[in-house]
Amino acid sequence: MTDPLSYLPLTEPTFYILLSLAPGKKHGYAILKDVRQLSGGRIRLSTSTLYTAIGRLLDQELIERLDEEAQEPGPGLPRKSYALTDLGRRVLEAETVRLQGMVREARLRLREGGA
Amino acid sequence: MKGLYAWLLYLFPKTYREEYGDELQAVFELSLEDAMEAGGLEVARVTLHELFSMPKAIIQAHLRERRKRKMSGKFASRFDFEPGSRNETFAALTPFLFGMVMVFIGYLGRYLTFPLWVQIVFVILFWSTVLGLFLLGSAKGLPRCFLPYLGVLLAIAALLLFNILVNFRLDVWWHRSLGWGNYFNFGNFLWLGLILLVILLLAIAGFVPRFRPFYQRLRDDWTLLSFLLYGTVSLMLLLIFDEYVNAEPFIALSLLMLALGGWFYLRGDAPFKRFLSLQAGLMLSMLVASAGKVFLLTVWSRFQFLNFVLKDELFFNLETWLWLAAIMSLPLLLNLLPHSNRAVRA
Repeated sequence: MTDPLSYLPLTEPTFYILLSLAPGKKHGYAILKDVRQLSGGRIRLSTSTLYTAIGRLLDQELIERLDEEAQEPGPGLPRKSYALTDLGRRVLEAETVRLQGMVREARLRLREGGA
Repeated sequence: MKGLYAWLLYLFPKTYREEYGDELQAVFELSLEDAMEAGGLEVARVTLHELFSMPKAIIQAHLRERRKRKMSGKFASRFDFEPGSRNETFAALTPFLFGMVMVFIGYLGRYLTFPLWVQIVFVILFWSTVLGLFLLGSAKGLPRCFLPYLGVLLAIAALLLFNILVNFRLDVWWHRSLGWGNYFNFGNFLWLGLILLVILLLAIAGFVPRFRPFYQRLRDDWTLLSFLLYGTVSLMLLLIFDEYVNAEPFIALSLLMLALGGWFYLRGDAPFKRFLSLQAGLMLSMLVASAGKVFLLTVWSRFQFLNFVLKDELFFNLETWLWLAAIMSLPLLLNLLPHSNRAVRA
């Protein structure tokens, strides 16, 4: 079984892409908008950057491509959607734990410094 | 703008475009439609952001494709040629055809005064192609279309071996000390060296487990070894025309004859018929080379003893032809050896 820790640390865009897919499958444009929203507008992925990341995550088997039609109706919508794989979810969880640990340590040190 | 984006997508690798092209275009159009609602400034911001991030994405996509090809061996599988196919024929005849082109470029370069660097680039291109295709063929277990490349390298090894003997002044020792020069010319050691190398090659293929399948293939079809040795002829042609000026058209024509013989070999069915195709190709190429020497010596040169020189040069051609024909016939002996492995398998 692949060790999720071997994928860490994740880059910020990768983390947000995986996080965007945590609740369920999404198509490309929904991921793009969600990443912007999740990062408070800080990370604005271009279409080509998004699909470069998607391609890499597919290769790493952290996400999977679903061939079914996208749920939301509308003209010009991408036909494919993407979902987290089990490995992708475990990697996201491992990264969250790592970040939590970092934040906890940082808070502790800052509190010590401030005291 | 949408049209421009669609056009830019062509800069991505084909497989990547097929996989993500429609999605990229659709997501870009949606981003643009959203930006339009926010105003002209947002449209400009989105457009510039897309355009500036594209070169990096294109490079990454190409690198990804390359990595994938490497991993799946797709690049190498492009060289899995069907026996008798056009691609196989082209790959097998490249040492002769490409050699022909190179000789012509060298010839034209002399008259059209190509800069030296152009000629150097072509020479590097030729040898790297031969070496690259040989390495690729080796990685694929040396299918028959890559055998002439091994022949070219074998000829280089034989020439190097011969040069070592000459550098140690063994030729002087041979002619002076033993006095056998009149009976056996020292130059024939080149051919003996080639025979020695063939035996060495067979020994390595037969005894090293890794090369056993190759040896087995040579035993199953002895003409493969003849075809391998056919590759040596292309280099020996250069030796025949050593120190000749304006010999390039004849070398090129001789190489064409070799390519013709090789073509018939690859198309032939019966082993003996294929063997004869190679011998015919060799004979035609040597005839052209001899005709070339006659032409060059009588028309271009100002030798005082023309008849003597011509006789000597034609004898050298005859000698080269007979040696090469004999060496290419050696595999017939291989066929006479008992097929022990086959018996075991049966």
